[in-house]
Amino acid sequence: MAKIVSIHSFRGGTGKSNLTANLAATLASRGQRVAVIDTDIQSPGIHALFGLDEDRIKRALNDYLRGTCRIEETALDVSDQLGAQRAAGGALFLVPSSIRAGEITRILREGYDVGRLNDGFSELVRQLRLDHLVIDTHPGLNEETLLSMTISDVLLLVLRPDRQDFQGTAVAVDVARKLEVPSMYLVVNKAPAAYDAAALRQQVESAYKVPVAAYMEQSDEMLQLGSASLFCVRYPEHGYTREVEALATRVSA
Amino acid sequence: MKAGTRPAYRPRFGLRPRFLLFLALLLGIAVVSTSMFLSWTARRSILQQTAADGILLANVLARSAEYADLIGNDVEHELGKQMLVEATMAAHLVAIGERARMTPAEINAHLRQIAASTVLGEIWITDETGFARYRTREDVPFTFGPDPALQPQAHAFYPLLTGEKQSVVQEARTREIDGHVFKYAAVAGIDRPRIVQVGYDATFLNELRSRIGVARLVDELVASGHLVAIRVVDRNLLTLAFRAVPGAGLEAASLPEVEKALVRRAVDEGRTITMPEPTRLAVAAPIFGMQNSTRVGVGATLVDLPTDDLLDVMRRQAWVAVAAAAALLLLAVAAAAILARRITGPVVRLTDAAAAVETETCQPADLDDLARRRDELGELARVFQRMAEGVILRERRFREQLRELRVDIDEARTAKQVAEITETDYFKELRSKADALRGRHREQQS
Repeated sequence: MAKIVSIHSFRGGTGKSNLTANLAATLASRGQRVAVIDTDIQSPGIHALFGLDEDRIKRALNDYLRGTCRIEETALDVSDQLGAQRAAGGALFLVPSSIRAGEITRILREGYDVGRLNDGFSELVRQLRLDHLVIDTHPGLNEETLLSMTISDVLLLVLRPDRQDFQGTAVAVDVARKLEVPSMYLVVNKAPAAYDAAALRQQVESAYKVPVAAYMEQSDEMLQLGSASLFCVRYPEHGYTREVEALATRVSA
Repeated sequence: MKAGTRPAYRPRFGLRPRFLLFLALLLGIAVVSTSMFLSWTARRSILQQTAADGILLANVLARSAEYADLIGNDVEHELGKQMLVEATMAAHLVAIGERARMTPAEINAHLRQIAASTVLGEIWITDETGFARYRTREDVPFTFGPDPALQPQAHAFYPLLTGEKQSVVQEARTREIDGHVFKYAAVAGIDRPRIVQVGYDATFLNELRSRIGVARLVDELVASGHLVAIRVVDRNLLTLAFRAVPGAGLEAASLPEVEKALVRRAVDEGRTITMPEPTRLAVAAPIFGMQNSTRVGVGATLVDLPTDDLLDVMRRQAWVAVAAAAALLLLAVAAAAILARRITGPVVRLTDAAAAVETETCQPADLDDLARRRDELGELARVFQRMAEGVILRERRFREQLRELRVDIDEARTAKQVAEITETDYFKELRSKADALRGRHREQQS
């Protein structure tokens, strides 16, 4: 049975897309069939992590939502991005959002049927025989985000340790609770190295009553890589990679 | 710094051994080159001194030889004149004897008597044919001839018989008939063509030369032990005098080729020449003689001075130099070790302190003593202290920030924001359909 994993953050810049891509890649490298769907139609960005640019993206989620193609036709096989970590039986797909400015403004102006997005999720799982569908959402709480949360088996809320994120995450947690998401975890990302990880983790867990599934420190290597490729593939021994692996284990449990 | 925070890594070829090696090498080179230079200059100066001694000696000998030669020649010249007097008297005597119709036997008896009672050795008086009719040595019948091939010595007197010459004085030389050194002088006959010759045993001339000349000086000098050998040679490299210390491996008869060349050069160039050999120093000085009133090289004195003693001295000096160098080197290494410790000790401490900063166990005050140093290491320690204090301060601030970082949630605001979402129709619809939506996915997948 496929698991739908939504990755959300109340504010932008939390490293959500990076986490999404690396989590999906880690799952795929364990022999799972995984698809990432970029529902951040307003400000898409995850494609870059899979080494894609405008020229390689022929069809996007926008085309499906306008009804000009089927959802599986928008999925790109990006398994080659796993490099040496590619596993037998595993596959990694990406359903990108269009990065063409015209497409973006058009869908924002005309709107779309959120119900169709929901159908798309189901269809994608079925057509690609997925084990995991990982949904990268738009920051904040809009309709498609709420839909993603609703249908998720696992919801990951990514936050940085600062005041505004703490407040926003509290709202997201409450909303998710009201939607009765079966399984919800917090991911603390970009924590300064000077912070006491154990103490902060404990504080966060007691404040939200939600388990912290991963705690990542700010890293120079991540900055250097600059979202150009998959961090877990490039730095398999890094602390970040270890945390993503632990997260993958928890998500697929 | 706390104990046990020393880093596990220590460089294998660290500053201290490098420093030590470098200093030791530098000092070693300095000491060795200095002692080599000193040894070399000492050897040079001693050799120069020895050469000067040799040159002086050779020149003195050469002058002595010239002087001795001059005296010998003068004496012999005077002797020759006296002999001519004697020969003239003998010529008159034989003329008188024959006119008095004395028999040859009677005249010979007179001649023998003269020879027996005086230092005059021999008297030879010929007739017109050159036959020595009257002579002190009756056992030797001798006839003078003109052929130099047959009579290398006696032919010179033949012109007296022909009237070409009235007197002939020959220099002393070894006689061809018995090997004695003899000097002959002769005059032409008074009454008829004759050769009237008197002969002297001239051994005393050689003795005189050796008494006043080089041979004795040579013997004495060699006996003194300051020389290996002295050799006096003539222009044709014929050895005139030679003396060597026993065991020197030198012989009177054979002049080594290298020394021959040396002597030849000295005579030809008319100057003193020195030549160092493995255990001795050879010095050749030319001897000048007067020929047709010009001063020409007539031979040379070759002096061999020992350099073994010199080499011994050198060897002793070298040992002293080596010992001194070793002592100096030892001292230098010890000094270098202390210096290296003075420099690398603080570096090690600073390294440890840096490692301690990494592990957050650094106590900058521990470096106070080092920071009081007035050299560059002191400066480094001060800079490091300032840096470490800065780092520690920043870390402390970070920790304080973390303590201040409360997960502070404004409950009222949260509730308001949540309500704004949950009260929308979309949310209410979603909420009501949630189970169905989730259920539908399950359904579709299965």
